[in-house]
Amino acid sequence: MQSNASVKPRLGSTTSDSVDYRRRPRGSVQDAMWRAYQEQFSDLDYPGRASRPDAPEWRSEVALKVSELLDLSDNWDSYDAPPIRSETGAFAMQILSMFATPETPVPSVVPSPVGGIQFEWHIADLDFEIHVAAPYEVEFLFDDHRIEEPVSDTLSDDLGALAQPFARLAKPRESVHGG
Amino acid sequence: MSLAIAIEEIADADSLLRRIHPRQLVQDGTGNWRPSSAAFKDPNMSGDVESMLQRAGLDPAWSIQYHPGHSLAKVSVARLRGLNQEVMHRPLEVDRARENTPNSFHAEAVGKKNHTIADAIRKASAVVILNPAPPTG
Repeated sequence: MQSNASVKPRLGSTTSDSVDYRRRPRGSVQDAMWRAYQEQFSDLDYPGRASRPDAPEWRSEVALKVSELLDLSDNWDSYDAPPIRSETGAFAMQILSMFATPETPVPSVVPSPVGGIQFEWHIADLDFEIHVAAPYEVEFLFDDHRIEEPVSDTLSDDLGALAQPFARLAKPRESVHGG
Repeated sequence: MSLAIAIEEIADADSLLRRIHPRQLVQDGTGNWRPSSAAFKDPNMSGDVESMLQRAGLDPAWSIQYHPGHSLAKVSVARLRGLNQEVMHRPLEVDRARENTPNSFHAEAVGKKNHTIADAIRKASAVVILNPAPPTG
């Protein structure tokens, strides 16, 4: 049997222990960015590690979908879209780790033509989308159809604006007016 | 090398046809499949001009001829322009998406597409061809 000691396991392997989300991007500049990113987020909650006790059940399923997007090659959309970088995938997963709870519905995972990853929820009267173009380059759109205008914003290091939409997702049927 | 195809004005009444990658389909709140707003984020968003295809006697399916897994959506040019997008005819001598053959119907909607604009384009889009086997993600 071939030793797999030197083989970098991919997310989506059959055993969760062998899952390694931290796939290195290509290129020296990207390598440097990746190392800096890993240092900054050394406590990332990777699939295969002991997850937060209140992590949603779908976390590994979504991580697998994100990993599949990292395998998309150049021109994957037939319109010259660039491949999605691994640090973008890691940052997107970090957002879920920060905000998603067991009550959060499973998101759709969508690649964007700018090399980004978008999570989407469309349930009942709620639409919530988070687009991660790159680490610290985040946009979101939250539309609760029962209240006034959709909320949209661009975020970088402060992602606190995502807390309320995630809370609404977890309890979509509760009154938005507190009564 | 000059391009032999004449550049045409694109009327507001026209539409752009854009391929949608299978991964860019999502289910709406009622379980129906539709394009994600993410499909419309490209600042240089390509598409084929519907009326030009019609004049050439071609079906919209021409746009996904080499991409059978893709769906096809169309977006009103007037709506794109209303969202501050510049819509221009940009014929291609070599279209990678068509095995490097020319594409005289190619156009681009050029302009910044933040999340709000991409979602407005998505809302203005209509599905022309929905791949019958959408993904589960």
